Amino acid sequence: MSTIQTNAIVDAAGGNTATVNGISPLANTSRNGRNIIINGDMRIAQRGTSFTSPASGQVTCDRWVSGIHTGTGDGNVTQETDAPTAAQSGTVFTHSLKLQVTTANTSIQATDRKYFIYKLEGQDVAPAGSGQAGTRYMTLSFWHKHTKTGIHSVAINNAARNRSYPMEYTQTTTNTWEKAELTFPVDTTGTWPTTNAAGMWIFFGAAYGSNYAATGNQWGAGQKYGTANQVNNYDSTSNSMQFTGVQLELGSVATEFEHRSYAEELAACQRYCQLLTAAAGSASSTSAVEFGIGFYPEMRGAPTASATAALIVERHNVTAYTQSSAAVTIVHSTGRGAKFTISNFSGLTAGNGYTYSGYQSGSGHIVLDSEL
Amino acid sequence: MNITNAQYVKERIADINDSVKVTADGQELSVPMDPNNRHYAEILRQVADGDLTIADAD
Repeated sequence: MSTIQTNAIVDAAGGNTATVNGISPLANTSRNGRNIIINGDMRIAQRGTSFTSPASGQVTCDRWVSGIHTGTGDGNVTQETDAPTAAQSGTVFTHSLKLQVTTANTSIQATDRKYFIYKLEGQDVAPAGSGQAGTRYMTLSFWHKHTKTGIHSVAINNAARNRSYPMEYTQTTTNTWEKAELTFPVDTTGTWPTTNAAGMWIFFGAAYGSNYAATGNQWGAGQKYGTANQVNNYDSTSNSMQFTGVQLELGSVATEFEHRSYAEELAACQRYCQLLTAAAGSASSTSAVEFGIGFYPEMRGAPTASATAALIVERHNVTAYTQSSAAVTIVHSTGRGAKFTISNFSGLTAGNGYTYSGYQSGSGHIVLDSEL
Repeated sequence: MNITNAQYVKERIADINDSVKVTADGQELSVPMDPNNRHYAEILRQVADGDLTIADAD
């Protein structure tokens, strides 16, 4: 047996159509699981599709956190059906995430900061080897549509936000879908958790003050969200910015966006957010029902519970009871399950069984949040 | 995150504080006492900064 040592195999014309035993070698675009971003195509929106002036840290489309009004200026965030066409992107996206400015800020102050954040779970981004010696690369690609033309920026930060790597991209034509492909070296220092805690944050900038700007394309200390060249997306209420097709992968090549089935994408999102819409339990008093639930899929960690509106329980599908005001309490909580008490009812019989039916019209439902 | 009305909630069997009920940005949340939970981490930060006090459980 002999050994072939070569740097490249190409076809007779020097191209990339060579085959082996009549079969074309698989391009790396066929590898499943290369996109570390969950819901990069913005299809999943369990919490709703429209967010008026969302609070800092509020999750909008699943996994996408808003941080849009520290300092003067505000906006609304929506899930849109506007997306790059097949002719533009070579594939089909059905949704995007949009920020529409509603209160302008024409004079960005040093401490102002407005952005979307995507937070990666440490164990998902661990294969990059951040914080370890050696030369490795990651590539971030996404489709963007800004009203403002010019230079925009994104930045990679560790969760402690004391290491950052700002990068620039350009919006050439106003309100047009364009694609950015940004390759960056993996950081060889700093603390990068590899657990179920946050391992990496990605900031998609709208406007930054000078306190958060740094030189692009280099790792540095501190909490930096972009470069000083960042245009001000907040200088007019006519401005908006949209993203979709966000992909982060190992290596220095931006491959085609990895589409996953809706079921796969939803299940991945449910590690961080689940809507609890039904359960069977019993009354612990005349005003409260208790029940226990296992979480499927397992959540990232013990979730926060909230109710979207007053909840309804039923007795034998005959009598319905509605809370006087929305309330849910979670105890014994882990990522695998928890015990709940829903109170503020009246007229229940202690010890009797009741069914929580948050799926029916007129009832609120319980939201479980285990986001980073 | 604007957090108010923080109060511990006891797990009755073990009789220990098990979660914290708060109002965060106007919404009532039931937050497990897990530092890896983002809401509890923020509660701890605001308590450490002297901006928030958690009332005893009923």
